[in-house]
Amino acid sequence: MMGGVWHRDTISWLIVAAALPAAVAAVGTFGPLALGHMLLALAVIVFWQLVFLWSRAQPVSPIAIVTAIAVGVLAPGEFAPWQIVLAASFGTVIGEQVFGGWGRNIVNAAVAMLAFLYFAFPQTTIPGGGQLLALAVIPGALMLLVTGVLSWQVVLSAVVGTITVSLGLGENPMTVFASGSMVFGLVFLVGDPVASSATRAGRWIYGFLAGALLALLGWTDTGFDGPQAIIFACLVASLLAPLIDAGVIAATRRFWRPYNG
Amino acid sequence: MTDLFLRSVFAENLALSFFLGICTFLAVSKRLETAVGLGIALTVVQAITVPINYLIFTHLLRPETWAALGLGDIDLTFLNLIAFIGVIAAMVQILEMVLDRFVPALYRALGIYLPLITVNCAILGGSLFMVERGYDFTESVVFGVGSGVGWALAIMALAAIRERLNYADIPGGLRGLGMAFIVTGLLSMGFTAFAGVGS
Repeated sequence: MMGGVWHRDTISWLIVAAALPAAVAAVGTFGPLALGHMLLALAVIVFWQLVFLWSRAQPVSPIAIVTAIAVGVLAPGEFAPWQIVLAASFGTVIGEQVFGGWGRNIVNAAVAMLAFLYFAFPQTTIPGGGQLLALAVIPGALMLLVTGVLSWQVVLSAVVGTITVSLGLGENPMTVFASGSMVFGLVFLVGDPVASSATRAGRWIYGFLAGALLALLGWTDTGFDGPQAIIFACLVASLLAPLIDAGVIAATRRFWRPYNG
Repeated sequence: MTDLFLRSVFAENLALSFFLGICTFLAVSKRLETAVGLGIALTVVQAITVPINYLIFTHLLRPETWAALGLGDIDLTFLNLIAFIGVIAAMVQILEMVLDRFVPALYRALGIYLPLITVNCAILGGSLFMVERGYDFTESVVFGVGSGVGWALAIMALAAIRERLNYADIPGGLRGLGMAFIVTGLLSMGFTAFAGVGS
């Protein structure tokens, strides 16, 4: 094996392991519907990975499992199979494979997939998971934090952002964190190490932006509308992440002076 | 006013929801530095031309103005395209001279795209939206600044992403412009999320 233990797929296996309890909890909460969506999405993603492997020798990645789990957790609505196939194809090809596979993408494939699904079929209602799902995400999140895959700066500033904007709108921020789908989204989508900012100051800004957008898009007149809000908050934040990084780097370069300069 | 500003930056972003000014948007977004320069230049032009065009339209072209002077029914609104383009061209010319004098590096980097701001659809579109939506003077200032900032934000985000894509492994046929279109699509998908906010 080349390059030691810490290569790309070590990270993806860690994320897969962290997401498994959440997958079990999601199937328990939403029933066989969620399991069906997961398996169908997984089959579609593996198919596209093989297409890219065959056509341009692009390595496959076990991250497909996490992407498929995200579909089950965040889209347990009455979607027809062809809708899932269409969304999964869009998400994995446009969100990940055309950039050269996982690790080189700019948005999380699951985010592209679910944004497509919500945007194309808005009439389907999506239930948000309860506290059981939120609890199932915690051990995986801790494991990712300890191994350093998940950045604590991103999680902390996202939580701060959500609380600040929720209080600013006069709503109770605890409603957001009691929803399992939101906790899952914060850990696995907003905290995605590939699509988030890479500089340290950039991570604080990125996380705060994602959290603030989550609260801003989520709170409506009728209460908190979760799944759409987390997906679009994450999509906008990860698209702005390279700009945040570039800004941080430019600012550092301006204020940092070499000792002999 | 804040509402109008945020709407013109995000939900009604000229580049990402009306697809105006896409030619320069795609062509000058290879490097972040030039994209920032063009974004600022466009914001300045937009913030000045929309209010000036408002004044010209309201005080010279509308039939109400001439009726108030007792000159009967003179309707000059058919001249608005020529008048708007004239103002825009003059503004760009002045901006070009200022940049050439004070920021020659940026002037050279923008090259042909600076004079092309004259025929940038985002600029003319901004003035026409101002007429169509019947903004007053303050609103046209806010809308001018907001839509310029929104366009600048969009091109800066795209340029930063395209610089990061130097580390990506993109299929041969999609390198360059093809990928720019895909990223623009993703950006515009993200910005649609703001459509429901603040309306």
